[in-house]
Amino acid sequence: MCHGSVGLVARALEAAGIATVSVGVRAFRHRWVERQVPRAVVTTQPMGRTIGPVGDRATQRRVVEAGLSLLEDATAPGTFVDLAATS
Amino acid sequence: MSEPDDHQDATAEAMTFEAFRRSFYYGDHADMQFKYLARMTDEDAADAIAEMLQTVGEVVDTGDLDRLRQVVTDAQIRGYEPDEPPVPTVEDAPFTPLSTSLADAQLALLSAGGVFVQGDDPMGPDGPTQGQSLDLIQEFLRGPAMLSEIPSDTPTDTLTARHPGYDARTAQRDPQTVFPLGHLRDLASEGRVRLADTHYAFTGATSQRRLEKQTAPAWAEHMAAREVDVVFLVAT
Repeated sequence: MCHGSVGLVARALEAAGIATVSVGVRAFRHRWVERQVPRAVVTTQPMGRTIGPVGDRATQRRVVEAGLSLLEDATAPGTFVDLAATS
Repeated sequence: MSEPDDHQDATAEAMTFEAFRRSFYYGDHADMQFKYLARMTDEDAADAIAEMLQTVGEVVDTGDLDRLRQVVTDAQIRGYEPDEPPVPTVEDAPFTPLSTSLADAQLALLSAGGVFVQGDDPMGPDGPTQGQSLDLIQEFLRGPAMLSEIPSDTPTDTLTARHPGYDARTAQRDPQTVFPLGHLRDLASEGRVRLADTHYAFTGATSQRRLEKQTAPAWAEHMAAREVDVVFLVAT
């Protein structure tokens, strides 16, 4: 549900001229393929820990940096970056 | 050591395994981390539970929490795996290229994780707790999404979260698991990004139709008016 909602919001923002990157978890990756999310970073974390485990600042920072890099690198909609398990 | 049969109450009605695994989905054993057990077959759910318990036993000895995290995550991925490979269900794919360097673009964070500043509950001062919100899941799914505004200088330890679709106690322990404002502030101080004055969160469990037709376009208009160039979205 949440991933579907983020997909809808990302599409609305892009349509209004705002660039987006969406970060989500592997279990719901298919939702973003269905919604053609513009730019997606997919983490191998359990639901509810999208950016990284509690207190794991190094993993969290890497995920945020991956999102920023994708904003710069993506040249077409539906660009996905799948991150390996990081902790 | 007593055997399980010693404790069986002959007068009690036995709970079936199907009823047990379904009870994780907003039932007697409601647990947002394991609610996917309700959508598995009995056999797959039994295998998933057995593997997780076996790993718990190992980790008691080894302390290898990464191993446990991996097993829990893999079970969840299997639990939500679609029957068929996903295909796009929409025809268009709106895309706005980054028009300037990231360091010059104004970036806002927007999380679907139900985050808000303590004392500024979007559902009012008597808003439900995380536990209470699970009983309100249908109301959330029918209702409109509300946008919480979170000033850019908000200390992350003053944030909290509530969400009827995932276990927001994780975000209560560490809001940066779903709302990485502190990391973005660090990156802004290093010159990597430029942050907007205000960031946002909502509860992703909400009416999809209303979100698509009304709410999301209104939010987009609001952010465009505030000259937001880039939005960093987090799903939960």
